Amino acid sequence: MIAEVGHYALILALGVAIVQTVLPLIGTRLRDPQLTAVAVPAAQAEFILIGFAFLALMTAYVTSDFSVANVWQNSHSAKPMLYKISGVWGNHEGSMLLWVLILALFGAAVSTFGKNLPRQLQANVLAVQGSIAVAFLLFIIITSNPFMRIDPAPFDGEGLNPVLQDPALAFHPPFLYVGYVGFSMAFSFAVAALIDGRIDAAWARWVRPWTLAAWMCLTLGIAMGSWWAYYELGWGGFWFWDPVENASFMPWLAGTALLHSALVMEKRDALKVWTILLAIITFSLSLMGTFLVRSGVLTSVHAFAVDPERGVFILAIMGVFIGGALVLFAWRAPLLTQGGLFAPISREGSLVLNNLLLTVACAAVLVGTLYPLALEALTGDKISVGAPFFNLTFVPLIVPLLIAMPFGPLLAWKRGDLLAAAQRLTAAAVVSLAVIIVVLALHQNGPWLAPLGIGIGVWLIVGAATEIAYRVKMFDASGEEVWRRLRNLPRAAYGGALAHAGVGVMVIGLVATSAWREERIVALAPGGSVDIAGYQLTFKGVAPRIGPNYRERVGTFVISRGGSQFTVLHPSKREFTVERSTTTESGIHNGWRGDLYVVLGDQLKDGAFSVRVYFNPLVRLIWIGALVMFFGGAVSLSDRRLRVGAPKRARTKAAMATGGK
Amino acid sequence: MLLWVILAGLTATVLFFLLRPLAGGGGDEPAREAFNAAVYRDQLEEVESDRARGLIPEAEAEAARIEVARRLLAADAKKSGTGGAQEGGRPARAAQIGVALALPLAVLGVYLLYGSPRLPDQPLAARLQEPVNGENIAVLVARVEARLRAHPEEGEGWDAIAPVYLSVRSFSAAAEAYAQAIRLLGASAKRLSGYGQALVLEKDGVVTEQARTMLERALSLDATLVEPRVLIAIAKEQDGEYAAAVKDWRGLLKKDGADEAWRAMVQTRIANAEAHLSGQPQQDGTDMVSPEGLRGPNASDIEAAQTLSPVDRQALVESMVQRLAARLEQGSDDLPGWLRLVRAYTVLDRKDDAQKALARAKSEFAGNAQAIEQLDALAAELGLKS
Repeated sequence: MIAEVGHYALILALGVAIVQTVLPLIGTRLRDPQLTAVAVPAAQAEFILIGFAFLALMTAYVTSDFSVANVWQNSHSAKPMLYKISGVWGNHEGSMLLWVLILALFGAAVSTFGKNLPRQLQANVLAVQGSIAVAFLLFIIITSNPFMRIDPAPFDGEGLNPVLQDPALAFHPPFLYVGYVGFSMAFSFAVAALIDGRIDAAWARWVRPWTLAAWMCLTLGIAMGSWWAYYELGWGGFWFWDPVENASFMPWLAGTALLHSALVMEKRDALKVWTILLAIITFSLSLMGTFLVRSGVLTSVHAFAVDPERGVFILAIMGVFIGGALVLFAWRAPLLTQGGLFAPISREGSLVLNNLLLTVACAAVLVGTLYPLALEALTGDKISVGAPFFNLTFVPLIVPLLIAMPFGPLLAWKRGDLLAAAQRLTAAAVVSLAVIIVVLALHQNGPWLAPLGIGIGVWLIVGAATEIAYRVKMFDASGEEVWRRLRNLPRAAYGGALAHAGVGVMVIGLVATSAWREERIVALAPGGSVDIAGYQLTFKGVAPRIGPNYRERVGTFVISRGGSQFTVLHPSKREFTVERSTTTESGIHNGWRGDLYVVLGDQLKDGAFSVRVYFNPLVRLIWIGALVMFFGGAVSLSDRRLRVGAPKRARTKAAMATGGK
Repeated sequence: MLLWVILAGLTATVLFFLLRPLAGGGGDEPAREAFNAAVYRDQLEEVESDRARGLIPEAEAEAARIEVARRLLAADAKKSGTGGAQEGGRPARAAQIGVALALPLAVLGVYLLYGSPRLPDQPLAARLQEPVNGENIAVLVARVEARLRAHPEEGEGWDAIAPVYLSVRSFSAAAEAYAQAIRLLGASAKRLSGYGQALVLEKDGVVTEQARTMLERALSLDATLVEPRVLIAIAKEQDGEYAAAVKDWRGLLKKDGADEAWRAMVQTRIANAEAHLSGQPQQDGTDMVSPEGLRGPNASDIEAAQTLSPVDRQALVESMVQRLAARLEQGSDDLPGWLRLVRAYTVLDRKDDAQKALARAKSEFAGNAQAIEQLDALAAELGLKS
């Protein structure tokens, strides 16, 4: 019965979403406050109903109710509890339900905490959110209904793809979706402004926290996905330029641009039209990401839902929302007033450069992702665009951005002094140069560009520190004064500097591991050993082990360095009996110089095992960098200056009494 | 019934909250410019506090202050009282009635289309407690499986479930269960024999080396067992040792233990093997290993064909074509079969037969334009008159 109530709640949510879309739109047109006011309870009810449906589905998973087809297809009674729960969104139907749940969560947040918004704007925003919910709820109920039942129910399920039975992947989709769907807030605010034909002064302030929250979660979600690929796919790669990865990376690039342009809009009332357009583009890319992954147009690790009927449906949703928003933009944007002038060399100017480079880089990724699809559709040829293309297009665009990055925060608004900023960055430049020289000296046989890359990373970190040092007058004022300034500096400033430094940390990790990675592929019989990066690995043998829903062969490798043993690694191969497939669990030792990464391969004819050993220098910095960026975003989000006070509302008793009965 | 009460309650609650604003007053709110003015005041304060804290230089602060102040003045000039509280009336009432009627009906309609209101929840734990009505093997199996997952070291459980798996044709599960039972309880003739059978059936009737070892061990423990003997003989046949296989089977027929089902099967196998020995392979394809009619590709045929001399191979092919022809001549609408036959005759250089078969096929498919088209296409390809 829980399952059926959940199903009904989902359909009721569709009904509520239609009301949430239609009545407030009519209300704001007619200036009818009663119709307008429906948006708030509708958004809350929608969230509660979808939340209930989600919990109902989760209950079915947890109790292994195989009369629900979705549970039967994607679960198994022997699965550990964590994966029974994550199995809810580890499949197409459930993940779409999670998608609308998060959408409704954002809508409910705007209706509950958006009391400082003008009501018309709030109602329009919620109406646009409601229309997105209508589209996706229809999609779920008609083509991907998770509440379909089987009678009689089978006694056990078909299991979850073993590759997905992993802690990092259990939480990767929720974060990714919070990111994707969070950008829907920026989209709804943009469309609401276009419907209104006006942009309020606080528009950017209202939009920025949502965008920032979405951006943080997307950063973390992408990092988790890459972390998972690193240790689970068994060859130590962390980014593949796979279309599915690009699908999440493009909204990230556009979202990063949006964050920065909204900053200009908030502080200086400039770049308004561009920011609106960017908000539309960012969410369009999120929709496209959903389309690419969910429609099955790609065949890759992630694309586990393949069904053309669904693809056409999502394509239609995309067409309506992207096309509709762009048409609305073309029609209404001329109504929006431009404001705030600035000189090319200024904080605004630097943020325009940032936007320019980020959007062009995003376009490069878009071309690299869609070109193979278009080619396949037109000629039937299947090609794959991989790292070489992106190294040639994306990297040259991003490197100038990285070099320019520390300058931005040091320039003044409106009209800045590039020379003064450069002088302040002298120390950072000197440190980076010193690092480049040291790295060159250490790695005399190339690759030659790598030390420069490390230098850029250091430049970013020291540059971020320079900004804080400059703002608190670290070297000009007394200790007491500096301390006072440190405490008074807005959190947003710390957040921004942290996020920039996080990029630097990540760049160092990316460059080091790409340039100086070591690899050995050997056949080892028990007792054999192999040397890599100063470590000696001795293979002790392989033993069987039985897990909750798999059997595995676990290898034992004793790692020693300089003759003394210091750790033991256990890479394994897992065989999942229900799903009839195997996964590789790599053994990873995490040292300060980098990761030692061991993969157990197949047994060869002579009894030896093929073993792959990698040394990935400084690879952890990639994910530590992402964490720092996430943390920077969180610090910035906690800045109370982002909250705008509302004018006093003259909600008098008289108005209440005379309101239509 | 309870379900409908809950659904009705849910709908009513949602409608109540949804429609409440339509019944009350909308209240009024300040004009939009008032929001802007509030923001500008906020920004002024911010500039002021930044200046006071020394975060921005005096000149910059002054410039910012002037700019914001200009906007504030503009906003203040535009703002004229409140945005006004319009009286909601007719539209609200219409919406109220419309939503209250249409929403429940539409939702109910969609739910009846997609939902299964009669089906109760069926959590696994509860289902395993249900009384068994004797027929439902699946419940028993699920129960034992659940028990075995919790206590994988209980050999008795594996021992009990293995033959069940075998009888429901879950051969690999059966092999696994027998292996566990043997590991935990030790080898017995029955377990080894079952294990061997499961291994053979899992491989579609091919007796692997591992299976043969198990079967031989079973026989060494209990020489009266029939199944291992049959399978070992089949193994010999699959190795091409027809004489040895025939000898085994004849020995088996002399025993009293063999019941009728086995007898019939063994007799066919003997006939087949002897046909192989005399260079005239079997008459039909129903020769596979089988307690309950083991099926699978006729591995021995293919193997035999590979080891035959060219002359023998020709004979084998001829006999296969013969069989196909005999089947089709009795009046068959098996189009692929006919196509294959025509092609086979052509390959065997029996043009006349091919022509006859083609004509026969076309009469068989008279009126079926598609089939005729395919036959004509084949004829054209092979250079036959059609």
